[in-house]
Amino acid sequence: MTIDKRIDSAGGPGERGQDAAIAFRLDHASGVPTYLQLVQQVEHALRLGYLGKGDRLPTVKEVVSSLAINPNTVLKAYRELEHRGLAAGRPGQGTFVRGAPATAGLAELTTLRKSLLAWLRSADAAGLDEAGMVALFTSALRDFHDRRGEAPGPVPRGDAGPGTAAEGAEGVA
Amino acid sequence: MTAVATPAPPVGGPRPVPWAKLAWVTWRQHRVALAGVAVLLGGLGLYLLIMGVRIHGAYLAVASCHPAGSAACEVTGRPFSSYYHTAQDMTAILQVIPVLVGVFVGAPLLARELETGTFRFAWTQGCGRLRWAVAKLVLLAIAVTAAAGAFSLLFSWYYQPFFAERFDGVLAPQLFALRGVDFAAWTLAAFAIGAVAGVLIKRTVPAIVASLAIWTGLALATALFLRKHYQASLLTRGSPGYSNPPWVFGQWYTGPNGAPVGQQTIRNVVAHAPESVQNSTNPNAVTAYLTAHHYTQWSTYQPESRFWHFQFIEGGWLLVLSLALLAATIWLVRRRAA
Amino acid sequence: MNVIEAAGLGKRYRRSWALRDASLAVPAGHVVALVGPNGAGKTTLLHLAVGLTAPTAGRVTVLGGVVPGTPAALDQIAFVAQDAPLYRNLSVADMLHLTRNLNRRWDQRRAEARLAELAIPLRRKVGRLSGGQQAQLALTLALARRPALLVLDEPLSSLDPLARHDFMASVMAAVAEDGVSVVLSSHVLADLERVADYLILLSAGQVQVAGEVDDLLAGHRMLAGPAEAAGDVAERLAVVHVHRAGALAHLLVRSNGAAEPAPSGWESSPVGLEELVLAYLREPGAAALPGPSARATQDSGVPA
Repeated sequence: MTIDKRIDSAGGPGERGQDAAIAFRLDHASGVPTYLQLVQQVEHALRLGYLGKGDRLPTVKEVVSSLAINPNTVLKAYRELEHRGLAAGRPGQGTFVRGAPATAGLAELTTLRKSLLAWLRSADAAGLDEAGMVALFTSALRDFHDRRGEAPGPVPRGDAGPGTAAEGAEGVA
Repeated sequence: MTAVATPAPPVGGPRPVPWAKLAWVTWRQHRVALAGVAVLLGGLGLYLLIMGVRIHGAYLAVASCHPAGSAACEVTGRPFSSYYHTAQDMTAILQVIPVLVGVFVGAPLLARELETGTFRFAWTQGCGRLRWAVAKLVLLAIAVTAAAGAFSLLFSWYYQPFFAERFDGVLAPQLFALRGVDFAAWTLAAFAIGAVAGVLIKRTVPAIVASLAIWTGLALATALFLRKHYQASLLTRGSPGYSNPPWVFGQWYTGPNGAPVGQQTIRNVVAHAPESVQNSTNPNAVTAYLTAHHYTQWSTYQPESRFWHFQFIEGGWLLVLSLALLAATIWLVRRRAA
Repeated sequence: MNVIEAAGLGKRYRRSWALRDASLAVPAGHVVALVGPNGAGKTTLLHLAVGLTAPTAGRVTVLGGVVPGTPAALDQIAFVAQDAPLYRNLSVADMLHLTRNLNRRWDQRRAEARLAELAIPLRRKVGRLSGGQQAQLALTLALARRPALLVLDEPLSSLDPLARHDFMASVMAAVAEDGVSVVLSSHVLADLERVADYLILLSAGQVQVAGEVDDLLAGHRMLAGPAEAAGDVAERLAVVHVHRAGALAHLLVRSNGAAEPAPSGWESSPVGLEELVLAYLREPGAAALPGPSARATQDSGVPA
């Protein structure tokens, strides 16, 4: 999943007075619903710092002009982002980034990364290949959510198990 | 003029598209065909104009030559006679002009749209297929008919001296169809035949071919068989003469008992005539001999005075036919499925 | 408002029925994909909806009860036929002028802006444009009429992949900007999967599937499990199609959504649109149509 930081040329500043800060791309083969891909790209951009508070998301027209998808899909994605508190629409002006997903501080992130690498080394020593590692992680992630009582979040890419793909299809209508 | 969109349609349905806009559409789509007609009629018209001036000049020379019939006047009359021969060629060429003009404008009108599929574009526009078809048919019919009418006026002027010198009668079939209202009426009929053939056959080239064939058949049938019956023909003894050349289309002889006799019998009778009669320079000698032996020549003919009468009869039924065919075309457009 | 409504609609050409007993209630504000194999009757259905042809049986109305082919319908519906027929010997500017003169509502500024954006020169003859450019021109002319309904018959079949993408992007932008309803047909479902939110599947002249895409996908599941147990499942659930591969069987079933648990021993997964369509095409007797109660309202409901 790559993020383009370039200004989206499909719409241009025009009447909005501000260029969109992100351009979306679509992965047809991933099995992830389109609207969810858009949501994930925004979240990912926020996490990596490409998007900040107050940045304008592309208009529905700009997105469909470059991706050739149904406008309702974009609306659905933006509604989901609003639901998650990440974006807010300003009437007549567009949709703007509101906040960033809760994330850990830099030191915590480094520690977590180290323990993750250690786990990966153990899994590798036990004979798991990459697909096996991903399957194990996904299954554990789901158990974790189930125990916490939350609905599962978006499933990371590469999971091919029959049972777990169900979560990808659920959505906010 | 740019029109800004109105989001909601007017109450009570949209107003129909004005005829002026449809006139532009007709012009733009058919300007090549119309230009072709203009070039054809214009080119021929220019020729008639140039030659006509010369013919009128030659006629003036002949008419003012005294005494008529003298050897000197015969020499003066030679250019006029040679113009007459050229005019016969022109008359032959002009016979096909109505069908060319009418069919090449009329047949592709609907056939091309149906053949190329563009009717699926044209008939789904806000204008609707009926108004579209009516505009095109009416405007083009008027255009070709008016052009043909103007052209035939020019031709009448061009040929006038030959009528004045009694070289031809006005009812002569090849000339009747080029003058008066007939030329325009035949052009309109060709257009109407082309249009209905186009919508029935739905292919341009077959429609053109079929229209040419139908028109030609109709024109020949009219000239050879129908036209002489517009009014009861007149019967006279002998030949009606050349002073007012009428349209003679039947001549035969009867024998002493009153029954018709064949040409061979007449030839036999003349063969038995004395040498002085057979070799006489007097053209009436043979006729006088036959009459003396109770062989009478009869002729059926139509007099020149009926020219306009026939023009209106023929123009009239051609007009009715054309209107009927155009109405049928519009009805077929209405019914025609995708 | 239903943008297309049909009851028992049928069309016969000579001796065979191109479309038979079609009943539809397509709501406005959607992008409708009309899919089916070649010869299924898609073009016939579209021609009936735009008034190019008249029904042999049943009836069809558009835009809330208007008869197709009448001035009110023609005014509000823009149609681009297969292979985008245009007058090839006219220039692009002439086509604009001509279309403007054949309609009451026309947005010249928008048409010119679109053509400039697409780099289609106004002076060039239509016959000299590429296939993609001709399709875009036909679309421009249709959209400049500001229709309430845009109908496209196999608009992508003669376009290369880039032209296809650009064409669909233009259509979607128009939907986003004007809220126009769109009905487009294709025999290649993949072209339409991302853009359609309402699906009509035509097979052999009959409507097999009709409904909102979200509802259709939510209302079907793919079950994977032992082949010998397939019969038991069929007795308890509405099975659309069974695909056996050795000891493993895949069943496409109608269900009430993810909430319903899979039978024990079976794994359940959601169905993609293409998979769904293929399964129905393989089972001509099966159908997924809105129930009678849904027809009168705009809510298409869960397939019965």
